[in-house]
Amino acid sequence: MTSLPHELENIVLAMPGVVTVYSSGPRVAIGALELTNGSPSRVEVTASGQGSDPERIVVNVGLDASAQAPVTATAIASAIRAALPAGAATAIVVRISSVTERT
Amino acid sequence: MTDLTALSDALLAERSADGDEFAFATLVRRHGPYLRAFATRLTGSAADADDVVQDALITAWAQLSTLAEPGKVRSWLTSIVSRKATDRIRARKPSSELDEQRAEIAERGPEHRAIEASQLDALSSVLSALPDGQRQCWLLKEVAGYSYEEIAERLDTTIAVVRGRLARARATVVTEMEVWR
Amino acid sequence: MTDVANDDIGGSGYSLEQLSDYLDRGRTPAIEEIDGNAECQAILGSLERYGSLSRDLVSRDAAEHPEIDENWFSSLLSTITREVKAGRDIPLASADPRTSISITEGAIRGLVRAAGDSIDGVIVGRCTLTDAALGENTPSAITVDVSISVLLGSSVRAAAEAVRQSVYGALLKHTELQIDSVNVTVSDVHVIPIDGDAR
Repeated sequence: MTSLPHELENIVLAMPGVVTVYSSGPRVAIGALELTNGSPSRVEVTASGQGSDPERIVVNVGLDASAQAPVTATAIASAIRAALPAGAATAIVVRISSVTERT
Repeated sequence: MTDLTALSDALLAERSADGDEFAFATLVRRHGPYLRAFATRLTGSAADADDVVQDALITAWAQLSTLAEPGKVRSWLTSIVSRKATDRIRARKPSSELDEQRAEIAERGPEHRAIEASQLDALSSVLSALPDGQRQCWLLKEVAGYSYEEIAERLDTTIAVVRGRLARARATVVTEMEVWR
Repeated sequence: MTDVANDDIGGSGYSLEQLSDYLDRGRTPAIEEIDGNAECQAILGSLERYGSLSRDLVSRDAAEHPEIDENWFSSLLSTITREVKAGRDIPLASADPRTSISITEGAIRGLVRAAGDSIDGVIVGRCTLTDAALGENTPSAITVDVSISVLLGSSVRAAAEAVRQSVYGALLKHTELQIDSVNVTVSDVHVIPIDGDAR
């Protein structure tokens, strides 16, 4: 069974224009599910106090220069939104940390 | 991919300051051996030297934008290595006013020194045989270019002690290198 | 051994410890008894020489051990890469209020660098982004200053213009920033290595 962070990371990495997913930086709270899965995912999912929808998802990406970075980033946000239950109030943050020519 | 290996230190430092890790990697390959050699002589330990240089380079990456003259990369890096190395030296043992001889170093007497292949070999032997405190003061003064004040601060001692250690180191070096000649 | 440092040198009235101090003070203010004493001068000369030789010694150590342990190197580089020099987050438009999208200053600098590097004979040095926005946290309009190194012999003016165009294009494509100006300065010159001969 894949945790949500791992599932999201796989979705993002599979998208056209995505070169890499960077870690979001030091994460104080690592979900129990991440620990049982072994390696922590680089997608940061902050659980909400009530209900099952996450409060916030942060993904830090390196993109390909072939497509416009804002367009790719918007597509990433949409793909993440689609992986969540319909109507979830989850905040999604997509941060572009690099845009490079794929060699 | 742009070939960076032929570029000047200044250009590589500027790119590194802006976040180009390939430029920084190039600087590491270019200056790494020198920094490690210096750290080894300063700490007296190759294993410590590897850690010290790695710590220093991680710090350098974060502080590159503070490098005022991008062309003076090597001396700037040497200065950071000095800081990390002396941090480690201070953490090793309580500071002591006594300069103990390093018994474990095979000392070569002046008569053996005469047959050393070169002046550098002779100097290498003389420096290796100095007591730790004297050798550290010598290296920080002559290679890292530190002032007495800076050395005293780094080694957590007084200027008077530094002055004394440096003088004794110089007396030893002059005496033993003259024998070689 | 500790006595040697305090012995009188050549009848000058000065010890090696004092000579050592004198040397490190840059031999000022001048002391006649030292400057006029042959043995003192010989020792001061030797000390300077051994200082310089010490630097040569470290260089020689390095030349004798030029190899870099690849594990050590990878470990260093992966730590560096984690500390991406992101700088500020520059917002990009998003139709969904629950979603925020941004690009970092670090990414923008990388774009500028790549745009400049892509011009034949040009290698980018420093890139500075200055925002025109006043009193706001995030810029909407910026000035880009780029310094470049050009290949010896190539046209400086053509290179600078090509870089300007390339940088404009890259920023228009990947950001939503208004570019007030792109200023290119040629600060260095380089030559292509021949047969692996650098510089």
